[in-house]
Amino acid sequence: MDTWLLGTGGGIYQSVDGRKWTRVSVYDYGITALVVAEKQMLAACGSGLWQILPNDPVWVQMHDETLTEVMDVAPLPGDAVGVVAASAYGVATASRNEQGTLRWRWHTNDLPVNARFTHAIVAETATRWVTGTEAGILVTEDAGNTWQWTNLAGFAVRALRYEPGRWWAGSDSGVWRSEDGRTWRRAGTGLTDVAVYGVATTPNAVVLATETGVWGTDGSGGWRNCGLHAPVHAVGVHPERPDMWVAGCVPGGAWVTEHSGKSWSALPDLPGTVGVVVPPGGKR
Amino acid sequence: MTEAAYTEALKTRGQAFLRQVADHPGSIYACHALYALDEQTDQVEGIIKRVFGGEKAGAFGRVAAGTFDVFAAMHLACRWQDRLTEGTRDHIRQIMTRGMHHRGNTENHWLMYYVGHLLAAEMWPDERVLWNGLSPAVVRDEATRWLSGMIDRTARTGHHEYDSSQYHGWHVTPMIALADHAQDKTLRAQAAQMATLLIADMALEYFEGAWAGGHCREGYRENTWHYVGTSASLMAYYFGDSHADPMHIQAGMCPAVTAHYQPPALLADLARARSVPRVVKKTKAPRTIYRHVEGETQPVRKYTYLSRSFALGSTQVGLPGPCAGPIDLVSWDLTWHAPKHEGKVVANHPYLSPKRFSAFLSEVPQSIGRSVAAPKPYLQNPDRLFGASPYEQMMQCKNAMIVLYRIPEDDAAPYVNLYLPRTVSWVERNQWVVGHVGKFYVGLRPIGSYRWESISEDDHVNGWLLRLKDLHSGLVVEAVEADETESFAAFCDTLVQRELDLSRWSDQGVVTYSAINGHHLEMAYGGDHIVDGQAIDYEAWPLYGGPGIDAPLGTGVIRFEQGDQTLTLDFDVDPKKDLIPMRVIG
Repeated sequence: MDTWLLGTGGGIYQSVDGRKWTRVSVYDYGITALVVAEKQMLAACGSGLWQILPNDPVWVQMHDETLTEVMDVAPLPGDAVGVVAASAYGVATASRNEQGTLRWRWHTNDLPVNARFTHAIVAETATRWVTGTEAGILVTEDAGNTWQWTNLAGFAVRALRYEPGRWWAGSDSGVWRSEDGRTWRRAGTGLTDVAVYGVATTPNAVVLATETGVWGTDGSGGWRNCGLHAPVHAVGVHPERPDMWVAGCVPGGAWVTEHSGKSWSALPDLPGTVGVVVPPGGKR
Repeated sequence: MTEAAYTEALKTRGQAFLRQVADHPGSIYACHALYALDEQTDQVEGIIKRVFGGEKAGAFGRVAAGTFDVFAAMHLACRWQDRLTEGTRDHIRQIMTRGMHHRGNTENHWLMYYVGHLLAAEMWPDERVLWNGLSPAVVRDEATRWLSGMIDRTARTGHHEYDSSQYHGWHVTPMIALADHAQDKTLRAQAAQMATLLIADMALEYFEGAWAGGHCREGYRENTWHYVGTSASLMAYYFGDSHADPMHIQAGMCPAVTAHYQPPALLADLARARSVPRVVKKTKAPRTIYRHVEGETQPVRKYTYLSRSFALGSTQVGLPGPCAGPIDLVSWDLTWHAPKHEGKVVANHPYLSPKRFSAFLSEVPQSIGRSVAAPKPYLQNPDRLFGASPYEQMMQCKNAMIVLYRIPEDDAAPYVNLYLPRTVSWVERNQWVVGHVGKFYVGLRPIGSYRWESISEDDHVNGWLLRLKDLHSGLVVEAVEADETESFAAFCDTLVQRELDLSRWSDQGVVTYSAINGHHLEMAYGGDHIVDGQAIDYEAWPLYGGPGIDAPLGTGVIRFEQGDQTLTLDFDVDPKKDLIPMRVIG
């Protein structure tokens, strides 16, 4: 999709230029995650998971009576229709029963309570998933049958970002990085006591959405504040204009900068809570 | 009471109920009263179009509806199907098939949502798809799975959103709607039994219009009132000996009055049987907690002692440590019949950590304290009298109880609030606070230092507030019928002579009390609760226990006996079958 998308407390909004926004559909659910694919979009929210098809005004319910409080969703590579959902109650995958109805199978029921609460999930392959939970990061290599703890444990991990060979995690104890999703080390200096809710990358930098605003790499191993003294829950970077960022705040609405945070402009006429930012091209 | 006499009594009370509601119509629920009384029925279409499915402003004109409205509209559509105008029927159909709906996050939300959508799927089975892009058959099957699973779970492990004076009516009336209108015979029968069981829940702890003891949800600053929430309406209607006033006739409970379903007369007799004191025990399902805890929650155990003039009830909440503190749980109280603010004694540690919100809601803990409490500041009020505390523990034996608090030094609210009505002439003697409360006497022995304060918050709360100031504090409570002791002075004399041993409290967390009722209570904070040398085995408690009650946990069979009447509810459960996952809070 060649537009910006925002997941807000009152539905999904889109914009071509990052400045003028319109609501995507009538549904005003509070959005927690968006997945943009070629022929569909998936919207996660407190009440479940929805499939949005092009030119169809009706969102199709994907959840059943067991899936709710969905925090994140990830497509399963190699599986045209498969997704794995992360929720306050754990991680689940769907399959269709004889009537063609989606039913969800739960993979984390045996984990401790805090490890079930999953904020973020990345499916690197159809069977290798990495989760950011209230108790830290866990990895499964067998599609959720067994889970292994990583060295990043003991506090909440609220965001994950994956690019081949490179992982980032936003946590209640700053930002972390890893080469394999299993062994984690602090990324940069500073920000150890700050909750990091989102991670975005440019070709030359990393941009963080944190409880104390937007932060970026300073080129010398540290973090520099890039403005917005607000609880920023998501940030997106334009794929072709790396100085253009859109940040979503909870509360605080959405803001845009075209100079890597040197100045920010509030985006009017949007709901007061914006927790998801998807830049053109669909990469969060 | 015979069933015929009970039916007649319900009819009389029901007419009075409907009369009050019909005089002030405006809600979907009130339309039941208009049809039942055959008055102003020409108003119904206007009310439904105005209230159900408010259209969003702007370009997105799709209607939206919450769980209360969906349930109300579908119950109305089913109950008065032949009386609805075409315009009313079309409006409801339009919203149920093309609107946008919310499922909510509490058990009452989901119950209303699934009942409403089951009834809609059955009413309009030929629609290609409903509002959510799924066929009526798929919607019906999903609703049936959840509703059957919820009934099964409740019959085996106890109600999740248990004994909520506020929300119980939103469990009872959906079950009644299913019992009256679901197409599946099995579901109808199961729902009728569940409606009866939920009404029995009220009957067992009913005290002259009030619902005594612990409640999973009794917030909104109403837990010092006598008549609270939807339960007050239902109890006035079903049990009948309360002095009903317009304040607790809630239009939302109209559908219970106009329903075909009727509970057995036994429950009204049970509710009103107070000539002999009784102890009621209940087991309820573990609370749902998302996070901030190390272990799983444990079942809730309730204990309520009902005497002729008062009721004393307490709860073992089963919560796994700090943060796991539901915001409107009430763990114990002493109840008697009196006007608003004048018939309750209750204490609370007003645990303030914002993590107690995010333990049950999915927002981030860093900002949830403000986002939840900004529109509801009373949830963070330092004088709060409701809401669970992880640092409160209690035990009870009949009319006597011990409540202990061990609050950490760094807690934001390092004290306990004890509410006392102003209208009682309290006496302080030998560290006891003693009250002559009409036909009974009550003694309260604060553990640690305290100070008399006043509390008044609009008309929500109005009384004395004893602020128990020690981090390690507590309370011993004992109440006795006035005619069981010589005089109030004699009661005071007896009380101050009771053996109350606090010598092990500060270092071992142990308090012992030899109660007037003849039993010796020993309570260790974080340890055993011992009565007469025997530790209370909470794990052995039944689903329901008390005189004339036989309801082992996990069997789904509950038997009540009252006088020469008996009632058996058999939910035909399979103990080996997995319980439905609990995905709601409450």
